[in-house]
Amino acid sequence: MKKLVKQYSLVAVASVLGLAAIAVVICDPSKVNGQMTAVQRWNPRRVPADTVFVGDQACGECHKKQFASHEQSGMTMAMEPIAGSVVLNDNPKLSMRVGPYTYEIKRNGKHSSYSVTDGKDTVSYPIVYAFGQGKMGQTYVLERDGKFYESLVSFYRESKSLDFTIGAPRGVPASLTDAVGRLLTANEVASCFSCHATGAVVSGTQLRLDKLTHGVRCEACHGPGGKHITAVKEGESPAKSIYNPGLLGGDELTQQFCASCHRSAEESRTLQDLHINNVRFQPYRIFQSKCYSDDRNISCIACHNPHEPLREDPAYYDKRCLECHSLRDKTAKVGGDGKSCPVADKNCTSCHMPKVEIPSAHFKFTDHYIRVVRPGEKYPS
Amino acid sequence: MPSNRPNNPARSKVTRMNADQNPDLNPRLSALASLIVLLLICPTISAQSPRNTEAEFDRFVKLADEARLAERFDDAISLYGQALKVKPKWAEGWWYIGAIFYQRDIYPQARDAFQNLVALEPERGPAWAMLGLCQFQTAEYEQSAIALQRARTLGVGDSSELAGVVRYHIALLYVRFEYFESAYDVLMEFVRLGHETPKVIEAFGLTMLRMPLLPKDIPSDQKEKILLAGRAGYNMAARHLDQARTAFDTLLSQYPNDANVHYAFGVYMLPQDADVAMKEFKRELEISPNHFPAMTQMAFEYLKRDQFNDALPLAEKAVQLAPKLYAARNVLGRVLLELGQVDRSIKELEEGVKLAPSSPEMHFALARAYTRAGRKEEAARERETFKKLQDEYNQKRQLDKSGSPPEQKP
Repeated sequence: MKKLVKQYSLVAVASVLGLAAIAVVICDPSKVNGQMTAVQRWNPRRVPADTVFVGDQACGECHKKQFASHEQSGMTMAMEPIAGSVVLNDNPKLSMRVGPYTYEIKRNGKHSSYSVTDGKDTVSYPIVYAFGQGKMGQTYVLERDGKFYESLVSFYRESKSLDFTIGAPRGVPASLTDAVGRLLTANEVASCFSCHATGAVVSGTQLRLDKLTHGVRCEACHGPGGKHITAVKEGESPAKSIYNPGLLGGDELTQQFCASCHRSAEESRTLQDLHINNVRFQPYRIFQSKCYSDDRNISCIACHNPHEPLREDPAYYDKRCLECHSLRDKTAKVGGDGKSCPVADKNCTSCHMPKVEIPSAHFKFTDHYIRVVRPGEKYPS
Repeated sequence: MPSNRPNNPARSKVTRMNADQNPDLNPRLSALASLIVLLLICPTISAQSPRNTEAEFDRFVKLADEARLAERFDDAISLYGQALKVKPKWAEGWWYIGAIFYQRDIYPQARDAFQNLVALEPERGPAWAMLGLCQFQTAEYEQSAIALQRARTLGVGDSSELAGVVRYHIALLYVRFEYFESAYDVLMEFVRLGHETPKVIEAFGLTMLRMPLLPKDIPSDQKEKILLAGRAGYNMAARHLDQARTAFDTLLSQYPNDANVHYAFGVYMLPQDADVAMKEFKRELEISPNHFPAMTQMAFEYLKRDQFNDALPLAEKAVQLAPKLYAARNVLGRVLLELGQVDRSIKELEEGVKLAPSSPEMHFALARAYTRAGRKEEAARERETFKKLQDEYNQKRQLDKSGSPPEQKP
């Protein structure tokens, strides 16, 4: 600790003595981040036990624009409250048959139940948590005797019906108990809730479901807002009291911050075994790209604004590519200095970041591994 | 020995042992000996002998082959020896002599023959395998490990039996030299092949309990515990989690105060319930206060939880106790980085990379530290190395999964 204090004192002295050094620090956000203390740092999945969140409404009082758009974003809808679940409301009765087992998800007012019967016996549980916004689908978490289970079947939007949950064994379950779903380990429970909700897990593993807010909200990424609000009210600099991941360097943002949920390249060993299913893990995929670097122009937020719903129009992303790459027409006043595409100037993602279908997900995901994709090329896992 | 796995700097120097002090291993090798006999009497082998125009050489070879096929091995050795005097660079001659000596349990002479062979044909995997197995028998364990590793790198040909024997012995040597994580990785190959034999279980037991012993050296009062730990380890590796848990429960109830039992259970629990695992690691540290692997595991877990100040002393102590343990350098470097001590972090991570140049995670961590320090080119270089190593690892795994021929049980 003494050493740490000494280090920061030296930084202070250096900043007084060398204006040039200060200029470097100001110009390069990663340098700023390099000086961040552990207290200032924040990770969405490493919420300290004593954390108190103020909630989105408090943030929205000042950050109206972000608050409004974030409400509609995939981040917010990473988990749906059962009472207001759009998916469950719009699909009041879902059923599926697997061997001798019949599954039924039934809406009853603001509640939904998940039941399985083998014709003789029936087990039924209230759905307590609905994971996913329903863009691709939705998986359910059931609670039984204080333990959590992942539903064996999930809702898929494309077919508006149930099918096996991704990764679940697709055979006929051995028993009615097995047919319900998979018992989640303590680590998995912590992992699911820490990425799909805000404030549900502290100290890495401790569940605090009574404090849960559905979805990834403001404070999941920015940390608790209490001090920030106080600072603003007292006229102090607001930036010093809230964590801003937008100041992180490109690699740290992508591979550490966003990847804490979206999975980093460092997890390659596990992810490679998932084959085509790993297309869902964007930080891992983009890391494979030739153009990947610490440059913020290739980081997650270069293309995505987490405060907004995901943009679907390829033209929007073309502009991002042209931050670095040049147009074929060298006289054009847009585009960077990088290599131009010999084929086209628009719809870059359609060729270089093709959509890949995961059959078991009934959905096409954008492969963030930016490359020249040859026709019929095998998926590079 | 590879440097990409934890080792113990305090490990004792190799103790020389006589081959006949090693009775436990001889039955293990009987299957291999049969294979060698087959090789010796197989006429197709002699067809592989290079043609030589020198009459004397041809005569010796002819007579030697006849003696070998007639199982007059003393004559065969003498005649091959004479042929080799004429043509000392005749590789097949060294192979035959080595194989005959090996089959007759005369390991020093067999070793010398294979030594000559690998000097002539350094890319011949089976020769390295036989050399390593001889050196194992003559208790030259370090040399044996080097030779067997070389054999695995080069490949041991189509003999799945030889591959299995080499795998088993390299696992034992990793255990012997306290490279327990490497031993576990090698033993995993048996799990993938479904080879749940008593010898494999025993090797798993030694690995799980971190006992740097060869099977022949296991005290009789430890055997039951080792087999129990081995069953736990095998089932853990095979993802038979319920069976592993049953074995661990028995192990814990019967040996609650023995070293490494809680650590092994903690490792099993870590992917499932990190809180339980942490309690087990803490208990291990009560039993074995200098248990640096437990310290390293705990430091990593605290790091995951952003409890850097809890992680730091454990990581520092682990590095102090095991300065050559790259995993300890890895966690210490990462913790220091999170605490903003970038220069110190880089120093630790660079040391880790030196210790484990083929560890992708070390390069990934170092890339992050360089990035934080603004050393962009070095960061990019480390990222590329990480990517390259990951690709290599992936390719090797694919080969292991799809390319391995079915093997006999060791």
